Amino acid sequence: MKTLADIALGDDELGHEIRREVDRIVSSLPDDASCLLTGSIIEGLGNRNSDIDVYVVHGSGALANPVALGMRQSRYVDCEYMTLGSLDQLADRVSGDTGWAALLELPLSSVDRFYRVSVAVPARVAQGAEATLKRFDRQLACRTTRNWALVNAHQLLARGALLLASGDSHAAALHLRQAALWSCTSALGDVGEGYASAKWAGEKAARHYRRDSARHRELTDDFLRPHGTPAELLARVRASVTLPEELDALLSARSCVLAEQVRHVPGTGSDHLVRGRSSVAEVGGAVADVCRELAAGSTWAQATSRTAARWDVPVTEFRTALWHRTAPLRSTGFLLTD
Amino acid sequence: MLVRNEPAMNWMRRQRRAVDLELDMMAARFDLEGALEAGQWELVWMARQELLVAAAEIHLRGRGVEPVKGADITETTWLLLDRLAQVDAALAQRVWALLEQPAPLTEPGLRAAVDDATAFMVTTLAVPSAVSRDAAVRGWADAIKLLRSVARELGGMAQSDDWYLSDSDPGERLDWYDEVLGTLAGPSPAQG
Repeated sequence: MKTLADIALGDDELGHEIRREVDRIVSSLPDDASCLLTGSIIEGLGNRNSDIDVYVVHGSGALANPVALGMRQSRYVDCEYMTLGSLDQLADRVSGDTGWAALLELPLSSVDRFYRVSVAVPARVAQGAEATLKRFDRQLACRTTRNWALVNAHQLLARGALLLASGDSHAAALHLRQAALWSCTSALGDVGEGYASAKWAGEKAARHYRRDSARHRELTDDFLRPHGTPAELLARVRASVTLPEELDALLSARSCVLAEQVRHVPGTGSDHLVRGRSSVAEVGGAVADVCRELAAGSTWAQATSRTAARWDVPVTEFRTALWHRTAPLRSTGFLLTD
Repeated sequence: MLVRNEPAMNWMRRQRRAVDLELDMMAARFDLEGALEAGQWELVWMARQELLVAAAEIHLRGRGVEPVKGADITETTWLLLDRLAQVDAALAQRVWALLEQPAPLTEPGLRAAVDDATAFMVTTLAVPSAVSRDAAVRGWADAIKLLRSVARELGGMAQSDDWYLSDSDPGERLDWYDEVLGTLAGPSPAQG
């Protein structure tokens, strides 16, 4: 792990400002707390206005304020508080099972934090914290960003494909641009640019491949300046997002059924699901089509396969998009995971 | 506006979201101005997009409409503009057009596109915090000040203590507002 002396904070106003800020925070900490500097400045991407990201890691206890912001002349300080136990849990989650199933359950905030800790510069490491911090390996962080970004790119691509099939070209283009952004983030993770914050994707591509090089333009044009129709954008993003077989199989194996007490009521324009005597859910579009099939006795695989063909969306993309769209039905008990 | 009467918890929830949105505006303005100065053109465009989305939600909320939050920022943006279209279809089309505009390849083109979007946010969407980094800091400080003031009258419920100032504890004080505004009095590297 780098130390404060290793990084080029410089002797200019910025360097002094950061040192003053860190000294102030460290001096107020209890003995069992560590203090880490991280974020875009440490990553080497930041500019004069970038915020100073500080992680304060307490040895134990509950935290009153998870986040604090401080204003300074040219920048602001973003100070996040966490416990050593929560970092150990994060390391367990990321390094214990790096399979695709675990990634599907991992929020972006965890991926982002894992990388930030892996590159963090300690201003102070409390006794007992070293072993935990050593678990945050940068190469593992880059692989995690690469894989998580690939999953997210696929999910956005799938949702964009279904929106395009539904005729909502604005929403489709928005999703497909975001899919291109995460596809770029995944490709950059593969070459060691693992900083997970999406807004920096273009700068990372410029740093790694040189701005306006062919590879830089290839990676960034589809989210910065896509050309052609949404259908053409969809085709290009599809070509850039290749699912590993294991992930493809995992997404295809997900399945759910209508809960036992749920009845399906067909309508014009939209259908309704009635759960017991207490809840009603209105469903439309492809979700209504699939629910209708489920109510008629089809399995999830049969229902999504037939409906995908009707909507002219590849079945894996359709299933991914439907899984996302039906999440509110699962969380409220209308659908049960099979 | 006439009178809007609502339960305290609803108001608090709404104002917390208003604070979050002004914080988003502030972070994006910091990014935008720092990136313009540093020649980080991709970040400039990403910050411009973030500003447009946050400003559209502030505008919609100012008209008394609360958009639905999506599962992620992409879905939230879609649902936001869908809701805006129900209220003002022409305005929603203008936001879509700005969001879908390709990033210019030249620096003057990029700066002009940023200026156009800023003018739209300030004039058409009526979001003053979009105009500059300092205005965004002021917008954020104003939103927190209101939240804290009302929360104090409500007995301290659900207030926002998640900020701090130089050499002070984040206690029950409101004079932080002057201190935040005091940071704006100094030279601004992004503008200087």
